[in-house]
Formats: sequence, structure tokens, C-alpha cells
Amino acid sequence: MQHASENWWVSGLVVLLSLIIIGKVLSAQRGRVPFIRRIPGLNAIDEAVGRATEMGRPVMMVPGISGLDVVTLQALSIFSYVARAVARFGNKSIMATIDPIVTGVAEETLRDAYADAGRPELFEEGDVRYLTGQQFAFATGVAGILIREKVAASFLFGAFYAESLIFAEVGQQVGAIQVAGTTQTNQIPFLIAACDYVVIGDEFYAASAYLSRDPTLLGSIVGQDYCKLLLLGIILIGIISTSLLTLIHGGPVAHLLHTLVDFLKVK
Amino acid sequence: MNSTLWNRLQTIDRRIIYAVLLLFIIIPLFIDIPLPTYPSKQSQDFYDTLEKVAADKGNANKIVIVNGMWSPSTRGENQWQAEALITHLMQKHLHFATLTFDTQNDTVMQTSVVEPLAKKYGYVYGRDYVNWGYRPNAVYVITIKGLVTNIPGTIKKDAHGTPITSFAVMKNVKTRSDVAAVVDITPVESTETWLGLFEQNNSPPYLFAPTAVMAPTYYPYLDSGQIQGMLTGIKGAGDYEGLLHTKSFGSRIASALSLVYALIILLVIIGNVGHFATRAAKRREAS
Amino acid sequence: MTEYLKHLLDPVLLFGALGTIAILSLVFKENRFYRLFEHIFLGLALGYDLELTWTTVLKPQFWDAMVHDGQWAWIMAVPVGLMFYGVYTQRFAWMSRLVFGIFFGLAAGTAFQDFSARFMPQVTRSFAPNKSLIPPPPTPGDPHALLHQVSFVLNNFLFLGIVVCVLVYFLFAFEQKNRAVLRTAQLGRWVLMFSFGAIFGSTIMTRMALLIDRMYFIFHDWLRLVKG
Repeated sequence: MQHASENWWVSGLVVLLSLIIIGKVLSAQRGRVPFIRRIPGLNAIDEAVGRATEMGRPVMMVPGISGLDVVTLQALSIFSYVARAVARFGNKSIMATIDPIVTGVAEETLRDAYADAGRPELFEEGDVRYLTGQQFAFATGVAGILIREKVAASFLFGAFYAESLIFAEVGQQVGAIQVAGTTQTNQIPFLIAACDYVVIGDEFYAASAYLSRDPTLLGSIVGQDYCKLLLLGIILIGIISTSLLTLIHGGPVAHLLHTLVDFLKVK
Repeated sequence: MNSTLWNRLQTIDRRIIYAVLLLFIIIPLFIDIPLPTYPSKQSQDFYDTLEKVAADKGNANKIVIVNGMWSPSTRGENQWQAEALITHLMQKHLHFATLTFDTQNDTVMQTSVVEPLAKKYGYVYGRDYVNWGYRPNAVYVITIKGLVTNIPGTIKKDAHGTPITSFAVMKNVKTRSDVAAVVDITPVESTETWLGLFEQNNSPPYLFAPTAVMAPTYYPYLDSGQIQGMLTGIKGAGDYEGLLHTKSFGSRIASALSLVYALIILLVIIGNVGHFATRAAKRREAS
Repeated sequence: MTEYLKHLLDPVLLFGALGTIAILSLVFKENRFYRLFEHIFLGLALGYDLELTWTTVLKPQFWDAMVHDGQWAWIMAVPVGLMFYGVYTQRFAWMSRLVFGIFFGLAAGTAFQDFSARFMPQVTRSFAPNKSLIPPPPTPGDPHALLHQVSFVLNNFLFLGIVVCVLVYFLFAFEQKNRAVLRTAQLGRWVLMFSFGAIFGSTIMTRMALLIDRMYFIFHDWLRLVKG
């Protein structure tokens, strides 16, 4: 690790943060399932699926445009919940993918979700559609599906880039109720402007943990919260130390603060 | 003014808005409206950093890595940033290597930007610059990591299949310490990998040319000094062209951009006035 | 045929221009013209990706390396690559999990270094003198000394306040029942919305630049009605 030899406290901190998360995950796996508050945007999922069923129109899911990474897996975890809801209502769902590997995993996820809901016969091979590997060609294809299939509910969860507004705007044009969630900060404004409900940033991971109730995910979220508090504490110590150094010149306190500030700076 | 007007202000047919928007874009293309431009601090820092790199005689045998992640989809911003950058590199006689992880970038970058400018500035392939070519996105992280300690071993061959060690420009380029700067022209989040795996203690200088949409999320990196300069979309390209005293697309469309922004601000105001007036009217009717 | 007409009917330019107009026509109404180019676009993108994968990756780095450079060990990439397809069958799904596991492990390993190098400089930036809540003494001869002092303090208090509010908003392990915590989280959400507005404004710049580029292509490159 390039920083370890010069900034060993950074390495130590990373180890500490990792231990906190691992500790919470292990604790959750051993039965002490931690509490996570409900994310407001999740109420919209059932509402959206119900509305689509009333209108007799399908539900669309798009798991982002990155490959099989953490964000996409979390998105698929949320879509598993959505698919179970769709299957319970006896409706049809369509998922569009940009990555061939994600297509395979998505098919497995949807098939399992329909089976869990007791409606395996509702799943069709064409429900998960690999369109293309190109970003804007994919956007064009998704826009076409939204319009032609007259989708009533659209779920956009995952990593999105510039094409997110194309999905959201076209979905709005066809009158679909849209629920979105992404970790890409620069796409959230568009989803907020064009979608009905948006899950922002870290809430995306919490939503996935909340819906799946997987102990590993729940423990990880709680562990991360403690890590955030620890980092916030370091920032507060830094700012207060630096502020005090402006006031105090010379003496043992100033010397101590100088030592602390010099030690904690990344070299 | 009655509530029907406020409703109409909020529900202007989108086709009318698109038509007006297109007019506001097309008219400045026909009528040149010169507007003064003031380079932003980030663009100035971008320019100054490369000037410092060029002035440092220790960089004579080093290269600048130009990482291009853009494709014709974002050519409206990234191509002009790339053009201004390559112009600057060639004006300052800096050696550079182009690298890409996008399938279309290699062709577009070479044919539309590098080769025409190389002809103009007398740059010779192999002596002054080299094209490392395309690598699949799947090996992005491994490639960046490999460049830290072994550039020839990681890149191996240029875009035409020639071993890179056979080029004069690569003679003294072995590891990260032989890289004078890294410039990332990208519409995706490729910065994190460079900063996380390649950069150490802000060396070599890392310069960033994203599309405007990504710029706000990278201000913390500018603030912390991890990014030494940033060209914010087409405005950044226009600023850069102004600093280089050249005139290209970035400078050309400044008037069109300004008119469009004015139109959008006006529409936002109209929409909000309609929204709040409708709410007030409904409250009055309810009471 | 006049020179101008020949230029207008140049296949590459004509196809590009018609494609631009066809895709943009969606903003008015979904139509067959859009659908035709949508499918052409999808097919072209897929075909181009396939061609490029062979000519720039598989052939030079895999096939030529094996056949011409004698690096036969590359053949081992084939069974490993085939293991990915195990995801489609129940019987061999375990093979695909092996490969995925290796990739996830690689990603997780580099994530530690990535996190340290990316975020720690931002955390430790709080130890820099310009993040102090108390301003340094004013520079002698500075005509705007008071303004600089005030903005210094205001900026840093805002910085600290916003960091706290936004972090509190994203805490999920604690119920936000306490009024102080709830208000702080709400303030964090408001601040986030401000930042999203700024990002929205920046993004408009990108979208407009791309649209202007397309119009430039049509009116300058194709129709030649606009001087360069």
C-alpha cells in the first residue's frame, strides 16, 4: 500500500474502520440483527407496483449501466423485492441491461423472486433484455421500450450517468410513476426533477439492506454509521486544533496541538 | 391576472419550449455575438500547472499521459478540451502519450485532434508523442496500477502493435517518476482510480477535464489539492482557448451558451411564478 | 451534380445528419423514423463493440501473442473465461462464483488503497490553517481586510456545519426522533438539495453544449450554412 510506510496512522485508521464494519457484520450474522430506520422512498415501491397493476401495464426496471459491481448487485437486491411484489400482483415486469454478465445474474434474480412469490410461471425469458453495451444506444433502447410497452411504473436503481435524464424524462412523458435510486451524486438532481421518489446516495445501500434484511448488509450499514461518526470526530478535532493554534502561541498546549496536527496530516 | 394564466405558465407545451430553445441555439451560430470571457480559477490553474511542467527542465525526457475516456457522445465538450490541451502540449514541446479505455475514443482522438494538430505543429509520431491505444474497461484498474512501477511492461505495444520501447519518446519512461503530468479527459468517474492508485502526494500533477455535469462533485478534490486544475466542460475549453490565444469551438459557442442559459433562467422563473401564484390563488379560493 | 449537392449527399454526413434529426424527433413525438434509427444505432453499437473487441484486444493481445509470439500460456484464459458462463446453469454456477469471487477480491483489495489515497487527504485537509474557525491576523495593507476575515470565518463555519448536518442525515442506525437530530438531518437534506441544484445547473451546461455541437454538425458540417 503506497501510503502505509509514510502515513502509518492512515493505515491504522483504515484497519480500525474495517474492524468496526467486520465486527458489526459478524454480530449481525450471529443473530443480533441491528436496527435500521425505514427509508421514506421505499413506501413508493409498493404504491408504484400496485398502480401499474391497476392500469394493467408492465413495470420496468433498469439496474444502471455499470457492470457487475457492488452498486449493481445492490440494485438487483432491490429489484428482487420489486419482482416479488410484481409477481404477487400477477403483473409483468421488464428489465433492460447493458452488461451481458449482469443479464445472466438478473435473470436468475428475477426467476428466483417470481418463484419465491409462488408465481414461477409468470417469468418469461424475454423479461430480461440485453440491449447493447453502448451508453446512449442503451438509453435510446430503454426510451423505446418505455414508450412502446406503455410502462406504468419505472424503477431506476444503480449506477447511472448522462443517460439517466433520458430514462426519467421519457418515463414521465408516458405517465409512468418513477422511483429511482443512485449513488452517482451528479445524476441525483435529474432523477429528483423527473422522478416521483428518489433514494439519495447512501440511502441506496440502506434501502437494499432494509428490503433484503440480509444480516451482512444490515451489519455493514450500521458499521459504516460508526465509521462516519469516527471520521466526523477526526474532522472536528482537526478544525478545533487548528482554530486553537491560531489563538494560542507558545507553551505546552500549543506544542501538543502542533504535534497532533503534524502527526495527523497526510504526507 | 387570473389563475388560468398561471396554469398556462406552468404547462407551456414542451414542443414550444424545445422550438424556442433550438432557435436560441441556432441563431448565434449564424450571427457572431462576441462576449467577453473571464477564465475561471480552475481553468487558470490547469493552464498554469502545464506551464510550470513545461518550464521545469527536469521534465524534458518525461511524458504527459493524456487519458481519454470520452467518445463522440460527449464530443461537444471533451473533444474541444482535448484539442486545446494537445495544442498547449505541442506549443510547449511537451512529449505526451495518449491512452484510452473507450472503444471509440482512439479513432476520434487521433483523427480529429492529434493528427491534424501534429501536422500543424510539426510533431512526429514516435519522437514527440505516442499512442498507447485502447485497453478494455475491464483492465482499467490493473493498467493504472501497472503504470506506477512498470510502464513499458504494462503498455507493451502501441495502438499499431509496435513495441513501445522502440520509440524515442519512450526511451527514458519506465515508472511513475518519469511522468510529468496526467491529464484525464472524461465523461465518467475515472478520476478516483488515478487518484487512488497512481498519484502519490499529489505527484505527478493530475489535471482533470470532465464534462460540466461532473465538475461540482470534484470541487472537494480541487480544494484538497489532489486535482491541480480543472476544465469545466465547454466553458473550460473556451477559457483554455482564450488563455492559449486560439479560437475554436469552445470560444465560438460562448454566445449561444449564454443565450440558452438566459432562456432557461427565464423559463425557471416563469414556471415558479406560475406555481406559487396558482398555490396562492387556490388558498384564496379555499378561504 | 453540383459540388454542394454531392457534399450534402455524402453518405457519412447524410447518415449522421439524418440520425441526429431522427433521434431528436422523439422530443416531439414517437415515430417510425426514430424507431428505425434507434434500432440501427443499437445494432451498430453492438457490431462495432464486437469488431473492436476482436481487432484491438483479442487478436493483438491474445491470438497474436499465442500464435506469433509463442505465449501459449494465454490459452488458460479460455477455460477461465468459459467459467463465467456457468452462471446460466445450476450445475456449473459454482464455477462462475469462483471467477466473480476473484474479481470481487481484487476490487476489495484495491479499495483499501483507493480509500486512503482518495478520501484521507480530504479528511486531513481539516487540519490545514485555512480551515480554522478563528481567522489569522489580517495581511498588512489589505484594503478588504475585514471582508476577508468575515468570509474566512463564515466559510469555515459553513463547511463544518454542513459536514455535520449531511453526515447526520445519512445516519441509519439511529432513529431520528430527537428534535435536535431531526432538525439537523432536515437541514442536511436542504443543504443537499442546494448542492443538487448547483449540479443541475452544471449539467445543463453539458446538455446544451452537446446539443449545440449537434446543431453545429448539422448547420456547419452538413448544410454548410454556418461559417466555421
